[in-house]
Amino acid sequence: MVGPVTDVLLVEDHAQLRALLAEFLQLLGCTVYAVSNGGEALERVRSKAPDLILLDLAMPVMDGRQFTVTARREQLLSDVPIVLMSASPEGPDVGFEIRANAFLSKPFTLDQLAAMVERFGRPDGQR
Amino acid sequence: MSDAGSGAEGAPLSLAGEVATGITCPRCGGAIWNDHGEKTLAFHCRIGHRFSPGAMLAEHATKHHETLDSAIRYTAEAAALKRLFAAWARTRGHSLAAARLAEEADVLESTAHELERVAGTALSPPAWSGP
Repeated sequence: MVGPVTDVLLVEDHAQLRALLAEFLQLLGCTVYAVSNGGEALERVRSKAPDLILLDLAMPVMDGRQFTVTARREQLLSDVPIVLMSASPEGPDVGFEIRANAFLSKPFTLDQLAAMVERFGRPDGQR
Repeated sequence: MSDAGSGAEGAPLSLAGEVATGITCPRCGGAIWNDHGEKTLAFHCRIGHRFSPGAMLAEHATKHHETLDSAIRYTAEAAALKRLFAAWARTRGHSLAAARLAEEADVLESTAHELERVAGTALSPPAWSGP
């Protein structure tokens, strides 16, 4: 069961998809910080580490790979789980390369997203 | 065929006249061996469930039907669950999530109907070829 205080950083450049995913995550009881590229995501994790990062791969300004490399170099992520999202056939390989905890192949169903939050989200009073 | 060991790729595993069938036990899900290779049909699994040819056909068919029914039921339930979530999302003002959940429910409902149709065909015997 996902607790009501799981902070999710959602990094997705497609505005409509970002809005949809944010709505659904809120329905699951998550607190959502939605940003549109890796640069904005870096700013967010520099001020506060989330419990879970849902990260698109292909984005303008700074893509998911660059974000992860930079954030790891700055030691901002420590043990924050990352779920990489991509429609690219190379997505799973990139996920392995950046040490993402899981990969969601786009398009995915909302129950697949719920499963990721259940798997990596913070249970009540934990972490 | 040798009496023991796994042969070359594609050859069945055999142990002292027993041949692995590639079929699983309808009671426990374990591997099934044919007791006497090609000479007769008599089956057993690792933990001792034993089947005559008729029992194997009957119990495997029962499991087959149960599994298909289960697939249909879970798919229909998944559709209903997403309808429930869609309605809940609408009451919370999350129209994008509600619409997406309803779309996913539509797909699942179609899939459940298709599974029912396919299962109906799969479980129907072919027509007699003779009189």
